[in-house]
Amino acid sequence: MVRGMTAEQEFFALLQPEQGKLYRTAWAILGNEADARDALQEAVIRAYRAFRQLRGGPAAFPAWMRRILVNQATQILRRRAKVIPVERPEDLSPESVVDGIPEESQVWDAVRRLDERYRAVVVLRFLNDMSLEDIAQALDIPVGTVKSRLHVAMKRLREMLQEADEERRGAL
Amino acid sequence: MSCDQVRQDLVAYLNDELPAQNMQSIAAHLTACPACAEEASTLRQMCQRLTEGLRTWVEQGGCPPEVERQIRWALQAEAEADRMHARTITWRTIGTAAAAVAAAVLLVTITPVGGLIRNITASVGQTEVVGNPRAEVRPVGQSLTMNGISVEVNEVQFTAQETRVLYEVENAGGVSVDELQAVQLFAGGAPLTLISSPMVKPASGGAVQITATFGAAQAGQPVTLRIERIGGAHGPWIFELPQRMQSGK
Repeated sequence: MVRGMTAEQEFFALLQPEQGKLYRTAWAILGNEADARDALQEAVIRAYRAFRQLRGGPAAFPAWMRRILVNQATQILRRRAKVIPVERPEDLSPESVVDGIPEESQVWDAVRRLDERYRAVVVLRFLNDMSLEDIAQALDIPVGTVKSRLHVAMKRLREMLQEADEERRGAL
Repeated sequence: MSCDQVRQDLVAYLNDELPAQNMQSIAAHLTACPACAEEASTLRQMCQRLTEGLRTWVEQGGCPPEVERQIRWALQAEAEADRMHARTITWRTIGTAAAAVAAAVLLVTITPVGGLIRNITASVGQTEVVGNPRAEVRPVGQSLTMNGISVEVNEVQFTAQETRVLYEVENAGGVSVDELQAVQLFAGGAPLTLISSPMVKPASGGAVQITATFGAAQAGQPVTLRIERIGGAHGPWIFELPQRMQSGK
């Protein structure tokens, strides 16, 4: 523990620079901000309770915290998969590419428009660098399903990104 | 292997995640099939673009202020719960030690053994006293609804060091209760210093529970809780609370 700081202060000092990234990671996995907020809050409390078990010092905190968050978010996805899907406003985003999206957000814009089943595997694979087997375990689905979802998602993403690139070129 | 089978496995192939035999089969297919080789090349670029694009988007992200506040409050509430737990444990330890002392005194009365007494006294002396378990607890049970927000005050606790007010806020009007502004406690008309007001927000929804801790109130002074504003809704919610009866604890 850092001298003169309580565990709460030390934890918060480590958490603060990561909060924005953690929030967006949860948002990317879960597809909406309300669930991202809940996942982040739950993950923070879990991490705080386990803070004394953190090994590797402050340098290990970001990866450790991100693992806890990803676990929390995939737990929410598993729960969600067991209930009848409810249409949420976030799922009703327009199919066409929104004008004026900065180039660096184009990938996210395409990913967020994927159906939840496809978005989750894409985010876990490409943002969180998880193996197909780890994704299968996290989402409680067979590895074959992860592969086929990725295959479909990649086809869809390629179309969307090509469309966005063409619009961008046309606008220049 | 057919082109369809190869393409299903390409993402796994590009990341070296297939059994050795499948890796070799796909490599052989890609050498012989220019269309699939082209597909693999495009897919590799796509994978790279997705990784970079998503990471950039995440790196650029900020946490909305209300989420940051909510997390800060949840952490404070958790830390406060830890402290309360530590106090309970400490006082339980003291209670056990005190019982042991009492038993020892009884033993000494029957068979005086000075050494035994000295040991137990030392163990009591080493126990850290971090709280006062003899707080004066006064149930309140008052509630007030304004602008769709219900505030219910459950309890007030007085000690020599601080005054705690336990209350709940239920949001029935769609207003965020994340922001509780200008929570004040007056004793004898003078405001007491606010020390902390951690909030516990149940994940399942429902009322938000707050424990507001202020400076100590004097016995016999009228005590008033005033909450000026909750989120975007204006009050004030005002409660006349029970007075502190005893002094010196």
